[in-house]
Amino acid sequence: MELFLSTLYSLFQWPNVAYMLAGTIIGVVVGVLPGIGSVHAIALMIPFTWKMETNLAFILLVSIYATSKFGGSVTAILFNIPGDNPNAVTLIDGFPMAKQGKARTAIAASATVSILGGLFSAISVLVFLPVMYQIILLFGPAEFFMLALFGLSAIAAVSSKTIGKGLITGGLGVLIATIGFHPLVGQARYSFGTYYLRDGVHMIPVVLGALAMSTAIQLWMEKSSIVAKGVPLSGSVWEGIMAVFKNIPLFIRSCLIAWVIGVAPGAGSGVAGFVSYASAAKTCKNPENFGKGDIRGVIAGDTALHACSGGDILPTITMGIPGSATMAVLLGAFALHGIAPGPQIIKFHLDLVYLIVFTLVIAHCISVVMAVGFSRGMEKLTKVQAEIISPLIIVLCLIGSYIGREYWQDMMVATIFGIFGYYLKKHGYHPIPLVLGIVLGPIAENGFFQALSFSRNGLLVFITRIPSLIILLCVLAVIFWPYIEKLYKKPKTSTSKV
Amino acid sequence: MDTDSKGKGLDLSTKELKKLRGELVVILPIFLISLYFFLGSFQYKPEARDVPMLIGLLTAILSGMRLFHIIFPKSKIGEFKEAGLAGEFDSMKGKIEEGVLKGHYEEVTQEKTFRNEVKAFIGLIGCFAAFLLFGYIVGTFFAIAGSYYFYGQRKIGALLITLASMYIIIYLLLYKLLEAPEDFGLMLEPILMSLGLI
Repeated sequence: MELFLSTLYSLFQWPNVAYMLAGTIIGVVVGVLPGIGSVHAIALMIPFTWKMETNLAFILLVSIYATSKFGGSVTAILFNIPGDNPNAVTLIDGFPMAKQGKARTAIAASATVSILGGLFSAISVLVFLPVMYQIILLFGPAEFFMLALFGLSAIAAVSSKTIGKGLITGGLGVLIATIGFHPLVGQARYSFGTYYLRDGVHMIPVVLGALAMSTAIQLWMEKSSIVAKGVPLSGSVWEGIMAVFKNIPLFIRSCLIAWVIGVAPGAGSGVAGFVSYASAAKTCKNPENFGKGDIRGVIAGDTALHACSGGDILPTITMGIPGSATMAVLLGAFALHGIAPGPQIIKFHLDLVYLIVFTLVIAHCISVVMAVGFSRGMEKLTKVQAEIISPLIIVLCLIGSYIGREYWQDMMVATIFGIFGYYLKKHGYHPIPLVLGIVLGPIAENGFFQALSFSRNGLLVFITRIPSLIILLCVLAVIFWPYIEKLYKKPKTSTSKV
Repeated sequence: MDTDSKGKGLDLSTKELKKLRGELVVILPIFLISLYFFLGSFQYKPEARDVPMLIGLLTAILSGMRLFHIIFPKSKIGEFKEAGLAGEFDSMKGKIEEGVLKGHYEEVTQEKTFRNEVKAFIGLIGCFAAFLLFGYIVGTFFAIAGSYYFYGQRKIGALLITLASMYIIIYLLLYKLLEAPEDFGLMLEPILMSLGLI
């Protein structure tokens, strides 16, 4: 309890509060800028946190993650422009409301659910943390190897439209991670005799190239400069806030839907928002009003956007299984700061877990004040052209990939992965499994060797230990899900024919 | 009518085939790399070779299957139609999005032509070259100004604002405050050193 309170108190002290404010500003701006979201912002910021104190680094990164969604909601309501992909759900009813002269009401409702959703996320993490801790105490090296495997297979299965493609990019990521000195044997692998490759291909240039640079290329090509005319900022704020409390069952249901989707690896706020909206449109009274400026649409969609953060974060910090694409990138930040997600983080860095949870709530609140206060100024940000955004992203990527190790080759790796990442996206391969392969590859390899060195039965250790066997079954279930589903569905169709 | 639909069908399949063949840019390098990792792993000690051997083999098999499908599109091997949990979430989201966003919002984007792609890659490689030759402090200027003009922007005001805000981040925040390493690139550094400026 003492740690809990002291962590909360520390957040309001210098320089923590400054980092949170900086993260919030970056998050809101990124949320508003078309084409880039929290994944790219966090990827871009990770190299700059390298020399920072761990707690400060995570305050900054989590603030960006928590706040990027609300900025996008405001632009969706006022200008019919979703700042990030998930915010598209807000404009369905948000923009029609604004056209009816209820822009303030919609923003107030969105702001209220943003704060309450953030609070729900934080509480859900705190409630489930002890449960998860008890579970992961049962884990040994064999289980950690299996968990890394599960994280890889799950993200491959969920972040690509086909499992096969996800597994291919995930496998490539693990292979890239094997380049360089093997930690136990001390043998350089695939180095071609070069000093650079002996040190291994670092995660940062690959993350920056595959995620951020490829997006910059895409933006350059699409030239998506969005020119929009805003609607007047009118309507009652009080009405918007009260609408949330009048629709508490809808709010709770949206929170629960979002939490479950958040926990599912890889499926982030974008999916949660639309599923929650569809569920509301199906189950609420007068469904014909949805899409025509119904405040319940804004509440359902936006609640899910913010409430899924808890479900995203929980498996990421306790097991190293990312709940969404952004969390996969955040795992990279953990690795960079030498923190292994799992029991270690709860045992030795519990203050960091609390810090992440509190930052989630407080940053949500600050972003609401900021986004509501500067909603008019956001219009200018939405008009920023791709020709300006793209070089900025590229410059930040090149700097970020260089400053960590001071190798010019890292910039080359980022450039190569930028082009490769663009083609991956173009052909339906998501770069996230690639990134995760690089992050989780070494964890899996270490777990594999530790498990074997402690085992008397060789490879059998992975199936003779019950927790390991359960996770292995989960891995197989995720990979062979389409076939399991077919088996499950077949009898139904045959009976319907009869 | 019939001919039309037939023509359309042919056209579609040709498009699909072209799209599938385009995937070679991705799958061929992955196949060759994973094969190299698999075969190369035999030279290492057992502890060092297990993971690249196993993962290399699996990735080579999967990418090889896909390659087979690209070469023989009628074959079901490597079709990879099976959507996992995410595929279900994605298609669920896609359907809802398609249904509810219809008429509300449409993204205006340019068509991605090969010419556009090459132009973007030249821009990217140009930025890399600027950083390589001049380092990040000076290279940022060339990268931003160069790509700005390369893309036909002529508004000096916007360029100056962009450069000023970027230099606040790079010079003040990164270089001075976070003590990022000094770097003047492969070309500028020897010149500055010979002039005794650094």
